[in-house]
Amino acid sequence: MPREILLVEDDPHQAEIFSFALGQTGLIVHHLKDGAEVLPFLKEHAPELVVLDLHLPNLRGDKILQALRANPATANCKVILATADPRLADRLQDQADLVLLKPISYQQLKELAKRLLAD
Amino acid sequence: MKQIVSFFAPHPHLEKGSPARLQAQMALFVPLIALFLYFLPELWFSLAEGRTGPTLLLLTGTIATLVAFFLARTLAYRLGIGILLGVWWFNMILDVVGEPGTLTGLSEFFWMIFGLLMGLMLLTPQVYAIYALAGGMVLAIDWLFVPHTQEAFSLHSTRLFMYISAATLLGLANYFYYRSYRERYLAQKEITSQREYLQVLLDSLQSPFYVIDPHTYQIRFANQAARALGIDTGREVFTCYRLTHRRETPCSGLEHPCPLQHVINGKAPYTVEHIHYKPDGSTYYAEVHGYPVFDAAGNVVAMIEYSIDITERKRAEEKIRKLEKAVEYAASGVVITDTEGTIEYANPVIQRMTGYTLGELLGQNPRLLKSGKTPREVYADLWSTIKRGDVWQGELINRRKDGSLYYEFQTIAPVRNERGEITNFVAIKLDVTRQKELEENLRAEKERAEAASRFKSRLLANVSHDMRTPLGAIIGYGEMLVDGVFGNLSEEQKEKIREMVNSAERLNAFITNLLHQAELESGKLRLNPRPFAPAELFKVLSSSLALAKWKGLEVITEIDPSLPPTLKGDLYWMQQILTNLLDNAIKYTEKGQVWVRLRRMNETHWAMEVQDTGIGIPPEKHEAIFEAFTQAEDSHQYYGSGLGLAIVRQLVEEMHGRILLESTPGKGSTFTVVFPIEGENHAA
Repeated sequence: MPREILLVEDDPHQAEIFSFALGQTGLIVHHLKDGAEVLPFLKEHAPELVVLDLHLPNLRGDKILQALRANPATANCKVILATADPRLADRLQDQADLVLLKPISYQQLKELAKRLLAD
Repeated sequence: MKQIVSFFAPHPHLEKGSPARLQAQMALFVPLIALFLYFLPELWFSLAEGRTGPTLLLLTGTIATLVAFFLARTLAYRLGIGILLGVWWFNMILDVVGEPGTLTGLSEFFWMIFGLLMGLMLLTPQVYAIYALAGGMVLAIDWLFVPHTQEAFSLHSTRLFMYISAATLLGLANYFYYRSYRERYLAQKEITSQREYLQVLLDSLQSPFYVIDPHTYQIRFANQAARALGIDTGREVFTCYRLTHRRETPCSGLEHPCPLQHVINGKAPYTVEHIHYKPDGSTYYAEVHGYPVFDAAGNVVAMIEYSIDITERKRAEEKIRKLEKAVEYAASGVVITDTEGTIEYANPVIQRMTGYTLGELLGQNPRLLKSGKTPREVYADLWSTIKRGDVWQGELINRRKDGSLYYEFQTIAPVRNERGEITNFVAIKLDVTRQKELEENLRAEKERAEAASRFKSRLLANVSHDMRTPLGAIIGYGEMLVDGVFGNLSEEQKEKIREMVNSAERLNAFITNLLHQAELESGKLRLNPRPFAPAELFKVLSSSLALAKWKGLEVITEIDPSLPPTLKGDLYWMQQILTNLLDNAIKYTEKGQVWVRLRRMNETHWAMEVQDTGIGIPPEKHEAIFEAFTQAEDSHQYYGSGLGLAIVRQLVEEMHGRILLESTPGKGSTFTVVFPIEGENHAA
């Protein structure tokens, strides 16, 4: 089974940058724009890392995070929260492995993803 | 001695000048005269007859009578009389017994005893008359029925005639004199007692009462209270103005009009208020009543002046007048009603407040002002409260005469009489319409301000969010370009793109600081302390770490193992502080290392420490850098908001911490933020 990373981000530019940075880890990067697509996706896949934007159409990132942690299959996967809202990030940081405040550096994301996966 | 004195003292009955005393004197005097009239011829006859025994007795009797006369004013006179009469009667016994064939010896002895008894009593003319008559009868019997010699007979006849004549005359004289004396005495007594009674009556008046001569102003008669003001009628003549005003001329003027003048001119009673003097020089308010006294022709011959001390009343009136003025000129409306609510008084403010005149308000019920806008329960509460005797405070919406509405804040208190019964209600009313409007305006203004503030916050949040997203693209693509993702670039191109990325990073830092500053200044900073593990502080450092790496700096993080496993505080803001300090360190450090340490200071405090090998800060700037919009000197090449450290210090202080700075220019700086260890000495 190939190693996978799930990126959930609705902004196309951000998505491109993040995809590229995450791709540097050598894992397969799946990108979803719509929050509602995430849970069905997770039934089929078991990503090692989820990079989650919080402002998403249809299903917000915090709800996704909650569902993700509630499901035993995905409860242990690494999660990086990517958001421009520091308050929201603060509330969710216990549930996430890492909180990154936007704007997020390409370099930074690349390094952090590598480090997280190495743990 | 005392006994002798009392023996000679006047008999208590015998008041000097009284008819009883006169009676006693006469009772002595009449028999004395009678005895002399009797004894002297008797003595002459005895001597003529050569009878020495009766002569001696008669002499003794005469002397005893004289003694009795001189002692007559005392009790002793009774004994004197007794002795006198005893001698008299003994003489008669001898006289009779000395004659043979006496019929009346026993009777004469009896009369002697009777006479002694009489002598011991207070003799009245009546008793004396009976006594004299009885004596005369004895002599008459002796004369008529006892056989006498011719010589003795004629002697007896003479004695009898003299005796009866003397006794009768003296008895009559005594009787008439006594009667006329008694009448005069009683009349005089009556006058005296009436005058005394009058004086007692007038002295019983506790206020000064006196009679004034209308021509001389002199006081002719005064009662005790008036005399107490200083009249010494015995020595000098007082005038009314001297007595009560200490003046040498009669009263005059508007302040002290003379009542006498008014009474003379008006021929009618007159009342006026004066200030009078007391003997000690103090003054008092007197209400002076002048009453004219007329003669038969209707002329005023005297004035009675009666004055009452009204100082207390004046004071009370003064107090009432002051209170009345206070109520009248009070800024609040004042209404007094009876227990049914009927208006008895309303001050001018009420008239201005309601638009009704006093005439329209008096006798009305305050429901006249009802607008129908005040809830019924308010009135129910009002009445139940004040009827219970408590004070009610509240607000009513009332209607003015012109129909406009106004808010009335009022305090209603019950007024009780001396028996504790509620007699009136006093309402203090304030027209608070203007305040209500102002309050309303203020509230609206506050709501507007709050809405504006909320809008500003939302706007800032949105703006920052919407700015950060494109910044993400600039930074991300920039880094990718430098990384050669889109093909190789020249070093110059890479350098320019790095500058672009740095600028975007600074712009981002500026936005973050701006938001923090806005939050702090709006006073809305809400701390949410909770326990956290020390490592959690590093969770948000990542972007700073990335920046450092980008610049080729080494960032070393250390956690002191002696720190408690959990600390307490607002994690979010502590992270912001650490991020700020780290960003700052990276910003001013071109090469070398940046250390981030969490360590235990002592038993009660822990610290976050950020040390760099940057340009350092000169000591004189240590204070200034914590002020907003200040940056290290000669650092124009570093763009920044200048808000960072100001925010840090503000946050640290809000969280009851301290911030310390050690720095050597050219070598580097160390910022240490010290916080108390929660639960040990303090709650953040």
